[in-house]
Amino acid sequence: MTRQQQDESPVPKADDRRRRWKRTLLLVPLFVCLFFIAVAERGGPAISKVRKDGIVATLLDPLSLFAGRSPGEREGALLPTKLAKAGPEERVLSQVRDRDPGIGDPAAPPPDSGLLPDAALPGAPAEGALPGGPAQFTPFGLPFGPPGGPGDGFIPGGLGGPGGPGGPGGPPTGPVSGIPEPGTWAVMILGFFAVGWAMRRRAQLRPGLTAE
Amino acid sequence: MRALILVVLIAVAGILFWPAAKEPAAAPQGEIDAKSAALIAHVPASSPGTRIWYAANDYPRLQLPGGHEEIVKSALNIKGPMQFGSFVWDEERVPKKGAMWVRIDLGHQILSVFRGGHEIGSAVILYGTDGKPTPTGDFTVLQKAADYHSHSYDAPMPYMLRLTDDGVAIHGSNVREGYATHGCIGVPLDFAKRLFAVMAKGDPVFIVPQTGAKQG
Repeated sequence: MTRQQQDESPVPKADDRRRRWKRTLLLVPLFVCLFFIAVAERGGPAISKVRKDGIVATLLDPLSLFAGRSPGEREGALLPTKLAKAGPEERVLSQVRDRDPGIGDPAAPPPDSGLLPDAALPGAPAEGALPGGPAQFTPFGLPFGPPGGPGDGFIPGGLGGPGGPGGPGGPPTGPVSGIPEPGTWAVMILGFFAVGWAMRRRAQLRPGLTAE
Repeated sequence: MRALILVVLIAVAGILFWPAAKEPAAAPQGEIDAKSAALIAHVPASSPGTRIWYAANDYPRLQLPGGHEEIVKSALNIKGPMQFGSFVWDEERVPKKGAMWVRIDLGHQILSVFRGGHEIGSAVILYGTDGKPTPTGDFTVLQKAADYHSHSYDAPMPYMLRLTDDGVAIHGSNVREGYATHGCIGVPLDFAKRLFAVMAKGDPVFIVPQTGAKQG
């Protein structure tokens, strides 16, 4: 084609050279590109071969297969799957119990003598008769009575035996600590509320009583 | 233009024939390449649980405790690390009969069951604490008991395969991370059931120590 153009058209030689020069300039980058493509193509199989060899080496070794599926080596603190067989977990307490000597007055009478004769308590009958009086105001016959007589100071109030006509007194058996337990307090306060409510109700029913 | 076409043609020919001309130089690698291609052909990348088959003329040999050596004809293709409590069991396309043996890798916490050289099952295990370590070496199944209850620990040990006289066994367990046994090999319950079904008294069990696993 170019020869035909050269033959047919009278183009000056300078133009022809310029055109060739331009063509060469275009071809150089093309050659460079092709060279790199060729190198890459040539290097391509080599690279893939290395990769495949790596896979083969991995596949050929069962140990590396086992390592590959392993969750890793054991680390850190371990917990036992089952507890070692041990003795019974419950303690069996004996029937006989000793009171902790640190609690209470050492001069106090032995706690196992739950029922003390009234005569043994100086002043108990006289004082016990007095608090027995308010028991008349319990409107519903509440099961608790007033606390027993204060006794001689050694005996806790709850232990005081038969207080008055209405009160059955504290539980006669077992050692009772001097300080009432929260449940006792709660029942006591509830009782006071009940007494208060009953008194108010009475006053409302008999207005004449309030007038007096 | 004609020259341009010529150059392009030469370049294309160079691209096509240059690597081909260089290929015979790497003849030994070409063999491995063919083998790898055959192996890779058996391993679809997106299907875990399939099998890796080894070339019949080049079975890998596993060195096992007690001077034993076993060949591996195929292994389970398990992608990625297994979870605690998980296992793979696949006995399709492998012979139904063959010598049974078990390899337990304490370092990797992996148990592998082989039948006739083909791996048919693998699971993550629990093993003994440092205070009560699992013994290593070659053992045989001494006793089988599907519903065993340990006297020593007052604990159930389902599908128990006893390995030693002093009570070390493979049995079903709640395999969780961070737990250890008192010397036994704990495997997931369902795996234990399958293992119990295929193993017989006298079948060998190889327990590979941790140090050996590191070297391997």
